Amino acid sequence: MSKLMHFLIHSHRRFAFLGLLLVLFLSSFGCTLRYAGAPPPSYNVDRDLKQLADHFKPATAVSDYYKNPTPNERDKVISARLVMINLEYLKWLRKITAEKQFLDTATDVLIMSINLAATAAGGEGTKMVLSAISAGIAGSKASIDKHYYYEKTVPALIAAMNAQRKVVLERILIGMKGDLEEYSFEQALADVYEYYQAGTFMGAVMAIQADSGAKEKKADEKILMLTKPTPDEKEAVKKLQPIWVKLYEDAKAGKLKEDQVNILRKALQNLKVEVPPGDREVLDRLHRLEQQHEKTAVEILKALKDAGYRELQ
Amino acid sequence: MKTIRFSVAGDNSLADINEILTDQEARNSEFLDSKIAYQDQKVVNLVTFNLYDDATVPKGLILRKKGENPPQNMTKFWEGVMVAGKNLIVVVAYRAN
Repeated sequence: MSKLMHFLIHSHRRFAFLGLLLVLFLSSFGCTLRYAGAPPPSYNVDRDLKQLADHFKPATAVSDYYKNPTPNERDKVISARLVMINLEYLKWLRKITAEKQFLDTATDVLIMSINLAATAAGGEGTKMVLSAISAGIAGSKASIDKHYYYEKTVPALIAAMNAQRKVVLERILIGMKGDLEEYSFEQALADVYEYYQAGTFMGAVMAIQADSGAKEKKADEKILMLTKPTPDEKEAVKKLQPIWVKLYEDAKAGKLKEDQVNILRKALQNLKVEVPPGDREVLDRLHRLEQQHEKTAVEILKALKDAGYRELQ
Repeated sequence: MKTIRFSVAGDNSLADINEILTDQEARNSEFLDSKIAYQDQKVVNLVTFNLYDDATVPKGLILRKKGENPPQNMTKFWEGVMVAGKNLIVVVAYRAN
């Protein structure tokens, strides 16, 4: 270990290398211990971690950079922070693993994991929600399929964390090859923070969501929250259904009449929605308004009625 | 056919979530699956629907906690984790035969 320390002290650029090593180490360490079992290490991991932390922590101060703003100082602060983050990540994973041995069920692992996520999460609101969920789980163990969580959820999160950390680390390492104009200290700090976030359950969930969602949605897609329908809304949906059936049957048979389409056009205008050119497009646009909750069913029904839809008069 | 995603708050009971999904299906949509996600600092269910290009309404939908008796004359078509009543639970979705 002392040789390793000597190696690190003499070149701060090597700090980043240590970070990379730790990531690689974590990938195998976390998975092996946690999921396949492994003998205990032949050295005192906790003591080694503490020594490394004592060494690198003083170099993480932002003020150190501003005293002497050079690429070297930037790299020194950034790489030291990377090491600190990696150490904490390693300790965190070890904690999960160590405590698991004393836990009776995978549900308890989940409770602990969520508490850890609450600790890692930035926003107070998120912490509250996660804590509430955690408490809920504790109170309803019987209703939980324990193996489902353990086998499907937690490993997926850890895999996502490791993968996402690697992506961000690569970006930082590439940035550190450039000068301050190419890779500013502030950008580096932001990337380091992103690196930290990538090593949280919260970050992993976001990464999974981003990855799975990227292929099917635009990045800026606004996801609407559905709520319990009011009695009026339910009634309006019910009344609209036979209208859609009739209109789509007519459209399918090529019998959509001009006066029908004109009413639909007028309904769209009443709703202050742009009217598409084609007859079928007019019908589809009105229909989508309801399906996508762009307008309420009550509003659409009223617009159709005001436009003179015969069955609603 | 178009696929769309909505979120459903995790403080709804499972019965309420069932009602919300059924309401969406009444709008000529078909529930496909759900994932846990974060939205506006809250844990939510991210639900995916197919939007039909006509007036089709899928057959009845029932959500049950895993382990509960399955409803009669219905077929399981999805199983996953949802947040309901602020609890993480494993849910099975059944469709009427």
